[in-house]
Formats: sequence, structure tokens, C-alpha cells
Amino acid sequence: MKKKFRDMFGKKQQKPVQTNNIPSNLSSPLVTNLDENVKTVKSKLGNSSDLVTRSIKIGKNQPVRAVILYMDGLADKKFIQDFITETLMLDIRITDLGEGQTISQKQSEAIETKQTQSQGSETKNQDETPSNADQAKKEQTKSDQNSQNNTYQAIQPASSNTSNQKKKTRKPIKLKQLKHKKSSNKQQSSESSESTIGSKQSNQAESGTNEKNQTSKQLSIEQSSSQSSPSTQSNQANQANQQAKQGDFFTILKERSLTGSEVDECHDYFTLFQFLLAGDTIILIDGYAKGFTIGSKGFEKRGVEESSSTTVIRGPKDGFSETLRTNTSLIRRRLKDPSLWIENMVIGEKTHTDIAVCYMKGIVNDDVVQEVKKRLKDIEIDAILESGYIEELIQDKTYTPFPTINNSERPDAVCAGLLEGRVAIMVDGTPFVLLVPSLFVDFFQSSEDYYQRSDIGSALRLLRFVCFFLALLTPSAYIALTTFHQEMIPTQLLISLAAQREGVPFPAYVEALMMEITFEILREAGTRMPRAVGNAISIVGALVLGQAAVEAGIVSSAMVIVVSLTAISSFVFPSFNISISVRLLRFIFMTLAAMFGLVGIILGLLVMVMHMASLRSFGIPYLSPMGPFIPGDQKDSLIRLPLWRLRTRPKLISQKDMEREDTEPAKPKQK
Amino acid sequence: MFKVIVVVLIAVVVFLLDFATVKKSKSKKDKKVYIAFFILALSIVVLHVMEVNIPTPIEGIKQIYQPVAEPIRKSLEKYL
Amino acid sequence: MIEKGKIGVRQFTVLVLMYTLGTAVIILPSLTASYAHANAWITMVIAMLIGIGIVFMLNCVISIDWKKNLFELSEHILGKWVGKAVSVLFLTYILLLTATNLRQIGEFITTQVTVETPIQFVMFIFMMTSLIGVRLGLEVIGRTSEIFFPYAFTSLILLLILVAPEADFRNVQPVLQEDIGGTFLAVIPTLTTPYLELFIFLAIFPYVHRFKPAKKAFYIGVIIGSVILTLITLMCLAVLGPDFTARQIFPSYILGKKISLANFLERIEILVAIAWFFTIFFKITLNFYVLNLGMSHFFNLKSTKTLSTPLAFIIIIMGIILFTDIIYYNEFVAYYAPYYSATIGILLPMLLLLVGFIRKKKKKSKVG
Repeated sequence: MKKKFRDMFGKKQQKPVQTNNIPSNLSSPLVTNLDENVKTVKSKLGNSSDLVTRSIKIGKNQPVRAVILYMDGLADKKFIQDFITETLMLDIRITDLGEGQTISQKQSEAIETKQTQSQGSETKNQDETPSNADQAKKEQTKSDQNSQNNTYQAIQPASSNTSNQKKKTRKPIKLKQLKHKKSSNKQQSSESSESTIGSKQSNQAESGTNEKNQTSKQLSIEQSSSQSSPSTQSNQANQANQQAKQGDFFTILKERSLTGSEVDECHDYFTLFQFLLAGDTIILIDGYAKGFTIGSKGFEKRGVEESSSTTVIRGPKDGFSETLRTNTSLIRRRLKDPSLWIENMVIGEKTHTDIAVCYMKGIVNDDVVQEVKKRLKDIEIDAILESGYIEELIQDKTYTPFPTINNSERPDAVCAGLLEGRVAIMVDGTPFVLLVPSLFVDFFQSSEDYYQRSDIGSALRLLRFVCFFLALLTPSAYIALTTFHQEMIPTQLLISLAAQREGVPFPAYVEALMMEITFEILREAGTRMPRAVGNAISIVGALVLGQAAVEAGIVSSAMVIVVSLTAISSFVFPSFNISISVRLLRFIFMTLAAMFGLVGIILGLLVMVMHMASLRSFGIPYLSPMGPFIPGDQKDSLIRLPLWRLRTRPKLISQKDMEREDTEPAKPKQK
Repeated sequence: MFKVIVVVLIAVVVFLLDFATVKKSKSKKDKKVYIAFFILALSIVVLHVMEVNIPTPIEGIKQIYQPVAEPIRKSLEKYL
Repeated sequence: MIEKGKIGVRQFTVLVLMYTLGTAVIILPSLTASYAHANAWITMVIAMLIGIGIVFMLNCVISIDWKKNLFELSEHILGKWVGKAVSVLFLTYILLLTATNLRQIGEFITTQVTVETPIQFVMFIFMMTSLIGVRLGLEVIGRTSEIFFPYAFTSLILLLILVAPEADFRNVQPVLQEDIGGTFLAVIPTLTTPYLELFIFLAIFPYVHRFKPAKKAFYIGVIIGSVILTLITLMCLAVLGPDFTARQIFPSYILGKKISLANFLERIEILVAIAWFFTIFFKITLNFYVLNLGMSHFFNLKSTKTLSTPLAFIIIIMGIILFTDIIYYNEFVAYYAPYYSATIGILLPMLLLLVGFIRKKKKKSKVG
């Protein structure tokens, strides 16, 4: 029963929405009729106001109609004016477009007559000239085709259907012959276009042939070759190829007058929209079922600024921005090595977000790259608005307080990660770049550790680990000591603590819980509130909740110290991810401490470490340099040894090209 | 009696949570053995909660090893 | 193979070391000192030597086929039905052992650390932690032991160093003058706690990455553990005196209380106690893991985790009902447990070794 319901529902959903004249799905190809194409694009976009369409005429002798399409605000207007509109409308009239050559050889043939791939003509040339009976049939079809062309309605599926039917009726004829027939068909249609010379009709004829192109491979026409005898065919075919290369209007435009550097062709609406909505410019030309896409992205973007989430005293100040290309360039600028590979992907059915997967080929573990790409490919989601989406969709384990994917806003940190053999995942639209695989110790490493002297860096790193435990355990230790293990507190301190707590009506657990939650609220308010009211928070926090609460006898002053220590400690981590998980776990430890004292804390720690030991980040054990103890990797985990001691890359992350350097420490000459 | 009800209720919750993982193995034998052991565990817990004296297996071990243990015990106790 | 995880040789060493220290570190000094008095440390040394012999024997057993764990091995050597019967003996012993260990840590915590908490609660949360460990698998247990090992090890060494100024070695003199018979007889109960339980590592061996270093690691772990045990016993005797050591239930915890350095490092015995939590936790978890492993082999289950939850509850109740009080417990451990442990920990592996050896010879002669 369940299944049936689901099926019914599914079927209902799958029903295609039918609209008049507009191809229902985006993947349908462009048509030759320019107006039709423009109309479809416009209606697909719901006549959105930011779509700019500019129709122009190209050429001097026989101007061809063309339309320039771009999205206002996404595309660089100045670029379009200078290098697209201007070149097409003005410069083209004085440029040699190879017209002379074509015209001299082909005399009266219009420039828009289509000659495409030489392949088709060659296959045709190899064929024998068709038999008379065949030719008769051909003519019949041709007339059919022409009649259809005259009443061309731009309903593509119908026309392709008819050609398919024709195919069926003439089953005994071999495919090659069929091809041949079609080509001759085309030839005749072009002849007809010649005779009428009306550009419109030739368009239609071509549109007819274009339909054919869908059913079989694209075929070419060459008047002379079909008329001449087989012996001279090959010679002439070569000539024809040359002509096709030079003479095609479309190619000429592309090769000679479109000055943009990223020029591509698009054949269907799907690619058209992808380029158009990414900020590229589309040129559609009358009579061609394809268009140009010209890279002209030029939307407003934030420049390279100092990263706000991870700050350093010494070290580069530039941070990633929201534009993918800017971010990749920031990395390229630092790693000028061909082994830095950047692979692009598009994820998100609605957002079509560009994702770049970067890694150092030869250093990275190829299995990790494959795994990353596989997991990215498996994502099926409508929108990717931030790298957090990707992180959540590709991480190894969802239900864990610990982050298994690191992120950074700093190009130098990402570069260091790449050089250690990690894979960086950049997402367009966010400055936060993901680094995989990430281990527990990575969240305690700041890029500044490497810029300061090694002993200082090591000390600071150790301090961060101490702070991790302080932030995690201070309130719970306070609770455990004051309620269960008073004998551990030195007598004098115990007396003063007892004196403070005399007026406090709550048990230590409730007291701690109150203060911790208050602090969490303060912190959250500090992040979310408008900058202008920032001062209010500090007043509320320091005076009202600290001093006044103690004076009112709600909390003891020792508790305020404990909470402050916890708070400061949790701000130490270079990575914000780990600080959130510590905030969360703290409450669990407080509860355990209130129930079982130190035993509870210890068992909680055991469970926490066991959970962490069970985690993996892209196949690498999460507690790696300690979890499975790797002596060689201790040099850069809890402490950082001098750079000349960091000879090899981390063992588990990159297993190739382990040698990192071979520098001896500098020694002054001894006299 | 109240205690027993609480224990059984907790047992039901534990069973529901735990049986899901056993189900995953898709082996009938696993399920059968699991249920048998669960009932055994539950009955022991219930007996304990009802303060029924369960004989300790230690006594049995003592009985078995009495002949060996006794002489050495005597000589050991001399040094206490 | 039911268990798919593998542990490294270093992890194996750490586990053996933790297991050897395990509960022994809190109960052994008192037990040994009761009979051997001032010569308790000599008893420990003798027990260590015998223990190394036991390790040698166990290594021989596993060498028959190191890719099979204890339960597979007994079925392989003794045939299906006799093998199963022997497995039952092993499993019963491990069940009782786990329950006893749980009870020991429960007693320790409720008498020394958190006095108000009922023992059931303490045993419950300890067992639940163990349960989580077992469910996460052997790999995770191995890695976790590696993480906590530095803390446990250094705090034990620090205990030995920091308490050294208080030591009065006149307490252990004259060496081997009095109670000589007791010194040697006390080896019997002393052997029980770590050495006769070591056979459970036969079930872990197949999951160590490399076999030959693992054999060595077995020796190393046991020797380091025994040396620390001996030193702690010696310190107990020297600092507390033989009679006081014998009268205490947990003398090494009292030893921690004696630490006093510059009026600052005082009352840190809880930090030492935490180190023991870790060693005992890993002992219980390993026992419980092997119990689960054996059970799933016995019933031909698909996963070691299947029976973990019911077994955990059975163990908790067992731990409570096994011993009515500490006197009963002491009596059992001193006078009866050694023979039961010897049956399981020495006789059965010997049996496996002998039968395996004979079978091998027969096969060889048939081939020849």
C-alpha cells in the first residue's frame, strides 16, 4: 500500500509541464530561427528585467542579424561595449573576414551558407554515387522537406519525428546511403536558397537540414563535389575542407572578430543559460542553431581583504573573498608549481555553484582525491550557499560534536595544507575554504606557529591544548571539587570558598549552569547584534552579570572566575569549529561532575576520547599522530620543531614525495 | 514492585534502542541469541531489584577446589 | 573473522602493560604483604619470573596458528564439541573475572574517592563506558589506550619518585630472614591477579598487525608491568611498613596520600587514582571485549557487538552478587581463586599446546 501511494505521487511529480512554443526541458537544442531563440530565452527567464537583449546587424554587404544577450549586473558592461558590440558592429566592416576568398571561389554563394565539418563530406565522398531510384526517392523527400520548411513552425520534436518515420519506412537502405541522401537533400535545399537568394528562405532550408543533423551526424554540403565524378572527388574534398575552415561565417567570426579570450559555442538552452546566468555574454546569430558564449563576468565583488575570522599578528594579511577565481588566484600566486591542480565541478541544481578541488599532484594521496571527488559527485541538492553545505554533505560522520573538516579563510594556511598533501575544496560565494582530511591537532595549529620562532610557536601551541582542557573541564572540575572532593582543595582556599558560598542558595551545579548559560547568551548576542550596540554588551556582561550577581548573592565570586577562565580559554583556538564543540561538551561534563564527581569526569573523558578515536577524516584516523602513535609526526603536532627538523610531510596524509626539505641549521663559522 | 516496573520500562527502552543495531546484522541467529540473553539479563536484574538472594557462583568454585585449596590455606594462614 | 580491525604492535604492548598493572596495582601489595610481610617484593619478583614463564607458554600456544584466536584455536585443536566445552570454561572465567574487576574498582571508588555514591551506580557507569568501548571495536580501544598511556605511566612513575623521600628502607630489612616459607607460598595468590589472567591475550593476538613483534611485545609489556608492580610494592613496604600495608585494602592509594613536596604538591592522590582508573578501565574493557568475542564465536554470531548490552547488565549484577563483602572477597582471592585461575590460565592452554603438538607430529609422520 505504501509503495503504491509513493508510486502515484512519483508519477504525478514526473508529469512534464507543457507550455506552448517553449521547449519544455532546458536540454533542448537551439533552433535556427533567431527570434524564436530570443523569445524562448526571455520566456524561460520570465521576462526578468535584468536580461539585456541587444539586436545588431553584422557585416557590410549582406548584414546578418544577431542578438547579444547578457545579464545586467553580472556581466562587465564596459567589456561588452568595447570588445563585443564595437567589434561586431564597427570593426567588422573594415576587417578582412575571408569574404573575398570565399566569394571569389564560390561566386554568388551567400556568406551564411553553412559548411561544416570535413568529416561528413569525406564519408560522403567515399560513397558511390547514388542509384537513380534512390535519387528519385531523395527528391521526393526533399520536396517533403521543403514543403515542411515553408510552413516551418519551430516545433522541433515533430519534425525530427517525421524524419525518424522516414527512416523507418526505408529500412532496407543502409545508414550510409541514408546519410548520403540527406546530404544531397541539403544540397538541393541550398540550391533552392541560391535561386531565391532571399535570406529568409535559406534560413528555413538550413533549419530543415539542421533537424536532420539531430537524427544523424552533421553532414556537409559541397556543390562541386557531388556534381563531379568520383575520381576527382578527393582532391576537391581537400579544397572544400580548406574552404570550410576559412569560409564558415561562424568560424570566421570566432577566429577573427570576437576579441574576448573565453569564447565557446553553445548548442542548447541548458548551456546557454549556464553561461548567461554566470555573467557571460551570449551572441545568437540568425540562421544558426548555435551561439557564442563569451566570458565577460564582471559583477560587483569584495576585494581581497584581511580575514576576519582568523587573525594573526605576523603573517600575510590577505584573506579569501567570495569569488572563486580570486581565491584560486591567491593560491596560484603562492604555489607557482605545475603540480597544483585545480579541478572544477558544478553542484546544486538551482544554484549551479562552482566548486574547485585543489591539490598538489604527486604529494596528495590519490585515494583521498578520488574519495573527495566521489563524495562531491554524489551530492544532489538544489542549493550550495556556503562551504558549510559541502562540509555537512561530505563529512565522514554526522552525529559528532567534533569537526572532521577544517576550514580556513587564509590562503597561506590553505597552501600549507596543500603542501602537506591535503585537498582544498573551494566554493564560489564564500571565503571559507575546506581542507580535507583534517585531524584533531589541525584545529589547534595556527599558521602563525610557523612564522614565529619554533620554541615560541611550540609554547603557544601547547598553551592552546591546555586551554582546550581548561575550556572543557574548569566548570566541571569546580563542581566536582566543591561537592565531592573538598579534601583535595587546600584548607585555606576551602575556607574562603565556603565563606563565599555561604550566602549562595544554589548547589554548585546550578550555579555553574546558570553562569555558563548566561555567558553563552552573551557571546551569541555579541556575534549577532548590530555593531553599533556593541558597548552595551560589555556593560551588561561585566557589570550587571558579573559584579551585581555576586553582590546579590546569586553566585559566588569564585564561580565568576571559573566562568571567565572558561570563556577566555575557549577563544584561544585558531579554528572556530573546535570552540563550538567544546562549548557543547562542557555542559555534558558539568552534569557528569555533578552526578559522579571526578569519576564522572574521567569516564566522560574516556568516552570522549574513544569517540574521537573512532572518527576518521577521509580514511585518516582523527587522533592520528597520537591515536595510532606515529613517532615521525610528533614533530609538528603538539609542538612545532624548527623548520629544518620538519623534513618529511605528515605520514598518513600524504604517502608520496615525503621529503620536504634538506636544509641544515645555519651555523656560524667557528674561529 | 515499583522498582520492578521502572526496571522493566528501562529495559524496554534499552531493548528498542539496542535491537536496531542487532537487526542490522540481518542474521536470525543473532536476533534469537540476543533476545535469549536479553531475557536472561532482565530476569537477573529484576531478581536483584526484588532483593531475591541469587546464589553466587563463587560458592560452587569453592566447593570444587576445596580438596586442593584447604591444605595450602592452612599453611598460608600460619604466616598471617 | 568477526573482528575486522587491527591494532599495532605498540598498541598491543600498551594494552598488555595496562592489563598487567590493571587491578593488581591496587590490591596486590596488600595481599602479598599479608603473607610475605617485609619480603613481599621478593614474592613479587618470583611471581614475575614465573609470569614470564607463563607468557612463554602462551606464546607457544598461539604459535600453533596465530591467525586463530583463543576460541577458534580450541575448536581447531580439540575438535568442535570438546573445543566448545573448553570455550565455555574460558568464557565463564572471563565473565567472573570481568565482574570481579568491576567490583574491585567499584569498591575502590566508593570507599576512597566518592564515598556517598552507591556502588551500583559506580559499577553501572564504569560498565557503560566499557560497553561503549567494546561497541566501537578493538581498534578504538587500542588507540584510546595509546592516548591515555602517557598519563597513566608518568603518574605511576611520578608516584614512585615523589614518594621516595618518605621511604625508610629499614622496613624491608632484613631481607629474607623471617617468614621465608610465607614468602614462597604467597607466590600462589600473587600469581593469580595479573599472570594467570594473561591468557585472554590469546584472543587478541590474531588482530595485531605483525605476529613476531607482538610476541616480543607480550614479554615487554608483562615485564615492564611487573617491574612497576614490584617497585610499588617495595615502596608500600618502605613507606607504610609491612604491617600497615597488609592491613590496608588499597595500600598503594594510601601511598599516594603520603606525597608531600614543599607544602604544595599535597593531596594529589586522586591524580594517581585517575591513572588507575585508566589501567583498570582498559583491563575491564579488554576482558569484556574478549568475552563478547568468545560469545559470538560460541554462538556463531555475525558481530561481536550483538550480545554486548545484555552481557554488560549481567556483569553488573554479577559484580554485585558475587561477593557479599570484602572479607569474603579477600578469602576467595587468597585461598580459592589461584586454583581456579590456574586451571583456566595454565592447564587449559597447556592442554591446547600438548594436543596441538601431538596433532602436528601425527600430521608430520603421516606426510613422512
